[in-house]
Amino acid sequence: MIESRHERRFVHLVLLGASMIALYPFVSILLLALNPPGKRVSGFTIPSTISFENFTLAWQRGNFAQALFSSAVVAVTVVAASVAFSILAGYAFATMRFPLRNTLFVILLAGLMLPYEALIVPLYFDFRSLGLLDSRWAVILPQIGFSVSFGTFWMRTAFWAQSGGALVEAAQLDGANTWDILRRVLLPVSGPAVMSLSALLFLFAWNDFLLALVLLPQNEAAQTAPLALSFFAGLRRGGEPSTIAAAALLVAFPVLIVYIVMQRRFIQGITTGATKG
Amino acid sequence: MRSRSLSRVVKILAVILAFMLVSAACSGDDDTADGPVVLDVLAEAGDEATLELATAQFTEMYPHVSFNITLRAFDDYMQIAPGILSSDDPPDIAHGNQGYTIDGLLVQGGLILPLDDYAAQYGWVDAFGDGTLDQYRFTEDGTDFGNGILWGINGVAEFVGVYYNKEKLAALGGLPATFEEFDALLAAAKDAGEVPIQLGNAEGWPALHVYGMVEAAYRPAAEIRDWVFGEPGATVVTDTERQAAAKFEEWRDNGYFPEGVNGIAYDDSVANFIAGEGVFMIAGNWNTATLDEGMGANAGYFAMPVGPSGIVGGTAALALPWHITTSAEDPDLAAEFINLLVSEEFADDLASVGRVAARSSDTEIEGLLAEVTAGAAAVIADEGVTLYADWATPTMFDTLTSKTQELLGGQIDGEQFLNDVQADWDAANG
Amino acid sequence: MEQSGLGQRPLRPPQLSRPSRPARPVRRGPSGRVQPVAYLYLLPAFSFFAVFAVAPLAHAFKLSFYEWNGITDQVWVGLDNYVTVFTDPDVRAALWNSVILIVFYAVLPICVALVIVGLMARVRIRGRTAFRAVLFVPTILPLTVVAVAWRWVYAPDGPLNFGLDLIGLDFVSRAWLGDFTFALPSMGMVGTWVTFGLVFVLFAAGVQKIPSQLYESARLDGANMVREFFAVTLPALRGEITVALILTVTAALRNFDLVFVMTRGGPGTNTEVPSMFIYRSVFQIRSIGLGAAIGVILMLELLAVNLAVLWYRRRGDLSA
Repeated sequence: MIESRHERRFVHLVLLGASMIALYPFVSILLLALNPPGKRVSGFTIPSTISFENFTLAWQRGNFAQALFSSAVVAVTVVAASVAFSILAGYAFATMRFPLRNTLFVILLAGLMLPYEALIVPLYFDFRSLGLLDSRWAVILPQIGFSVSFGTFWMRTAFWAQSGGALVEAAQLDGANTWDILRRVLLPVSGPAVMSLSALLFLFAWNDFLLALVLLPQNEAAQTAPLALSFFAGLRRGGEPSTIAAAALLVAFPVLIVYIVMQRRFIQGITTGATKG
Repeated sequence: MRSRSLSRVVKILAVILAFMLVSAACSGDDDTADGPVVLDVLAEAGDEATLELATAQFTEMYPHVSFNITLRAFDDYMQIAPGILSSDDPPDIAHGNQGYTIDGLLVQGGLILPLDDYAAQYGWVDAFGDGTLDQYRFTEDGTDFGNGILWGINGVAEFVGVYYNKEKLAALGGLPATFEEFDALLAAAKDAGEVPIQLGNAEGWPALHVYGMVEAAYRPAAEIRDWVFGEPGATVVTDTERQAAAKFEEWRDNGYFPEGVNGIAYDDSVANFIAGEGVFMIAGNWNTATLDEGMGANAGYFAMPVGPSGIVGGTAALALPWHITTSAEDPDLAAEFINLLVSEEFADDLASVGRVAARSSDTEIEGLLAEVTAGAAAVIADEGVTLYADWATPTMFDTLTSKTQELLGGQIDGEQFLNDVQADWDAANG
Repeated sequence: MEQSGLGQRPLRPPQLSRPSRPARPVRRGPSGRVQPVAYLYLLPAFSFFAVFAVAPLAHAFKLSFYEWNGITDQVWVGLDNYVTVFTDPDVRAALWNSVILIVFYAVLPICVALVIVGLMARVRIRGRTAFRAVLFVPTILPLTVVAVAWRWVYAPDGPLNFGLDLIGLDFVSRAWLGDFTFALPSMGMVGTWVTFGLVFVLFAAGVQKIPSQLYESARLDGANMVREFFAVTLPALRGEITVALILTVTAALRNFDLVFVMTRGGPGTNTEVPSMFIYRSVFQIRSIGLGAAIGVILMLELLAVNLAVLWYRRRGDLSA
């Protein structure tokens, strides 16, 4: 490559600057949260003494133990069900011929463009009359409904990459049925795609706010973490910014941990998934 | 190798799925135990301390009763309460809000019980005085506010008044005897480099309380009550109302409010006032405990002194009504609890958490709360209670919150502000 | 990065959005006999999709023709709610704001990311994966957390004003989220901050797939940085730009979490957006039909934008 040293240095500085901007708001609430509660802080202040009391306070008052558990239940259920259903549907679209195949696929694909903000009104009243409001089902079921579009699309692409291969043909020649081909031949080589999909769906499910806000208005036992954060920030709005900051971090940590562990999956998922098809 | 580990992953996923489906199924409500009674209470967060005291006392009297209390900050509360009350699992007791926005809707939907029988049984109407409870009345169809059946009650008097920083005011002059003197003090404070009026209006409604005090200084309280209740012949815009709006606009233009007032949260403004920013803070008496704790003897309070209207008036009302929902399992028990909250005996307890009881109490109170109580007495003596403007129509809260922000932000002038309010009022009152 | 020196090709935009996949017949998709068992495989996904996406959509459509406060009886009002959507100044303001937010969510991050990626294309980056991982963080955080963090950054006594005061720009500092001029742009910048990582990661991956010979031959032709960007980098990233546009425009139009936690639509109606209006129509104004109508309009708006982007892309493909 032809590159001048100045150019290299400049590009690295730009990236460094961008990285600092990307991290700063997060760091700023971290610094804020490490102050002792009740202390009036402003600006860039770096805490003189590090105190974790804000975290304990937020944990106790904001009901976050319950909320994080609830979020975990919701996210894992949504991911497990959506991935399972998407594998099945994606498999059918990728390997089988059947009437209305393209029509059905387009219908499902349209779901990718469906803003669920538009569905929240009817969902609220439907669930109210079904008595499902305030139960975790109220957020789990619609999330599965919205996720299968994306998931099916994703798994179809993944299986496509395999199904033309010799393995599938060989299995078909052996007289294996569709279920065996999926289970024995395709799934074992689709691990990375399944993991990437799971990671992305986990992120969507964990971060959801609107559904929880509307469909879990009262039951504190079922509240998800982002919802608990919003109520906590409202309940103590402004009064104790350092405690609110701690609460925000509590909600962010699980996502960050999953991200750090699966960072490559996320990014690969985004880049390959987004540009294929 | 790879295939085995993947199939294991799939198996684990399946097990987790099954587990989660089961645990999700069990996540419904968990208060269906029989035998001991659980009263579900949904309340605005400002009553946290009040409820702590009251529930402890009630549980002492009725050991088999326990409470399940859900609290929400005011803004959140007003948004979710009707939805929760109309869901299939409403609480037994819940706050509403006077006027069409919340209570009207609850009555129309048949979601709350009429309390007239309990009022007679416990003698509420006599205790609070005729007329005082009108703000909790609606006709049976929920279309006429201020008349008919009693649907809720609260024993706390919420008055908006003027808190002041004693040290700072002493440097500027004495307590104002008239609204004109108060206005002059604001100018003096500004000249002295102080923030004359501490205010945080990020939520939109805090400035409404300030405007309400100016309004009451110019316009007779009875007229204001009439337009809030939508009485025939009433109207929003009058000459005196215009004078009030012009004065408020003048305060804005003179820089009497903090910079960036629309970006400061209400709670932050209270914290700022405690920290010594601001000579006055025009706010509700529910801040008394916070200010007492934060400022001690340096905090003072007075009712807005008499202005051109000729009486001591101001934004005031009883607190958010307690309602019994139609699906309450034991309405009598719920009423018994509400009676505890509004009882004469509980008035002392209210004082201990910094609330002003609407029922007169014989107990000596001192300090800031005494000044707050005296301020309320002055308004009551002049019949100057003006209620809250946002009760007037179903959309008035929404209109006022955004219009006060626009007024303070300089987007509109006082005249436009009044016209917008009038338009909302006309739309609802034909 | 390492491209083998073999198979040199003439300078032309490569087909980057299509990563190589195993050779297969041109007509994609399975061939052979019809397998009705497929419907069985589709059943779970489709039942959830039908019950929790399609049915509510139909219900929303129906509700949009009624006036209803959520509690008492529904009254048929025909197209009244749609008339309100297009005549009510507040609703129109909300729709217009969402269009402005597209600038911040989509246009701005895409432009900035293109510039940075254009620079990166010329040099070997040390710690490329680390930068990528860090820049992606804002995209994965829950938006409620993002909102709480930025509410603090923008607070009257928060870091932003503190920093401005420090460098002598104290006349610039203000209550950002309460200012009629700056509330919406301030909110928009948070959107830029959130979507930038996503856009950057997409483009960075795209650029990596550009054969370095293209740059080398461009340079032999005497192309400077700018010409090189327009001749090589930009055309090669067409696919990624399409995807980035769709994702970020969708995020802009659907914005709810940030508004709800940061401003609730204020000051005035300055940061009101359609989804916030939908929420308020149910929980504050209690005009359910209006909320449903705004939802339908929002959906059509999204569909139109996405289809426009895709259509433009396809047209571009044909002409290329």
